[in-house]
Amino acid sequence: MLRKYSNHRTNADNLKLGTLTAFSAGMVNVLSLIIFFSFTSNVTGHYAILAQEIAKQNWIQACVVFLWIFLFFAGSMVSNLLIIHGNKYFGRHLSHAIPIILETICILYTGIYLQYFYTESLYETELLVALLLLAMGLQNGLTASISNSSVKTTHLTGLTTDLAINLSMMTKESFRKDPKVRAKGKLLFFIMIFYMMGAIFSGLLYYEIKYYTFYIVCCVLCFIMLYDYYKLSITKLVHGKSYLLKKYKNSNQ
Amino acid sequence: MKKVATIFFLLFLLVTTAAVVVVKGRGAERNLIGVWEKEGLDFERVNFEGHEIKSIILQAQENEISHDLIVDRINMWEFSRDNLKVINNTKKENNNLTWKLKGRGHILEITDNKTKSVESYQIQELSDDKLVVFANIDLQVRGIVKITFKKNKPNYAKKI
Repeated sequence: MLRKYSNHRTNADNLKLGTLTAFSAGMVNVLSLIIFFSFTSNVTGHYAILAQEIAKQNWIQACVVFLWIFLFFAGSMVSNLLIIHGNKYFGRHLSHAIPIILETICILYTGIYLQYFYTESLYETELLVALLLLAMGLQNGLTASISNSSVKTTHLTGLTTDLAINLSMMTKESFRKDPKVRAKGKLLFFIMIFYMMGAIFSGLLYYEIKYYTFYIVCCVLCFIMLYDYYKLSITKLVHGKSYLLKKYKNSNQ
Repeated sequence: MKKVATIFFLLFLLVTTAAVVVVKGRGAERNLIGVWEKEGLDFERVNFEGHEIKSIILQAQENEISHDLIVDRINMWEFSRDNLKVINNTKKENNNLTWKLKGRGHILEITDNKTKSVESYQIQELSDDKLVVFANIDLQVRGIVKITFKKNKPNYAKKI
């Protein structure tokens, strides 16, 4: 899911990565909306708010929103820097997993802070929103970068547009039979569904287990990180066993 | 490479300036502290009657919307660092209410610690002497109830 890069990725790889990361992004966005009254997985609205605050000459709030946007930007930039430069230092899988590790740390920190230290002051709220925006920037930068921009999971504006275009293409037979168009449509549709599922799931879960919901998000992210390790170790184990079996059979003959 | 370095440097300057403004600036929390007197409660829903646009809503609708709103019941408010006091006839009553600001300081959340009910208001305008909030009751009527407050500044001249 994380190991492969750019054109080496299959549709199945993109589908797994897209759905799981969209699920976690949906969860984070709804949690931040419930707790902080602010979106954290997309910045389109924040650009509009920035313009509004500048027009109203609310300079402090404009600076807060600017810093939020910057942190989303910084997260995406760090992700891509790690992917393009980290390969030679950490290896491909680890350099692709580091943004998810950093994202998990940000979300885990938010969960722990909310549970034990949060006094609901505005300063803390602004800082925690900033941290979640950084986490979402990291995730979005990673998924977009390793999938050649075909997987973007934290915001649905572009995705809804692409889905609408894809659906309109389905009205023409030549496109309808094109496996690439069909695969893209399927990918976009599942990302949208999983984002919604994550959002509903965390909304329901929050009223039951409160801040522990952040730990569930961390579990989803850990699954994404460890999936390739698990798959590789299983493959190695299966290959190792079959190799030993062949060797055993040959020695018996 | 020089151009890239310049872009990075400008970005660094911009971010540092914004951070300094946020840290050193007078936040919305501090702006809110003080005594506020309710000036008016308006219902901004627009009704169509025939070809005329009327900004008045029915009394029954008004009662239903403002029913049980904490802000509607009380005319004078004192926002202090920890809690919210209600002032009736110059006698300060502690109603066990607490206030918090959420989002980027645009949501005022008032909690009644006795009944555990939480009400949130969207701050539309906050200046040294004026506070305008919209009640967030539910999705259907959001933005309809507009409450305006005027800051009660201590009259030092009178005291002297």
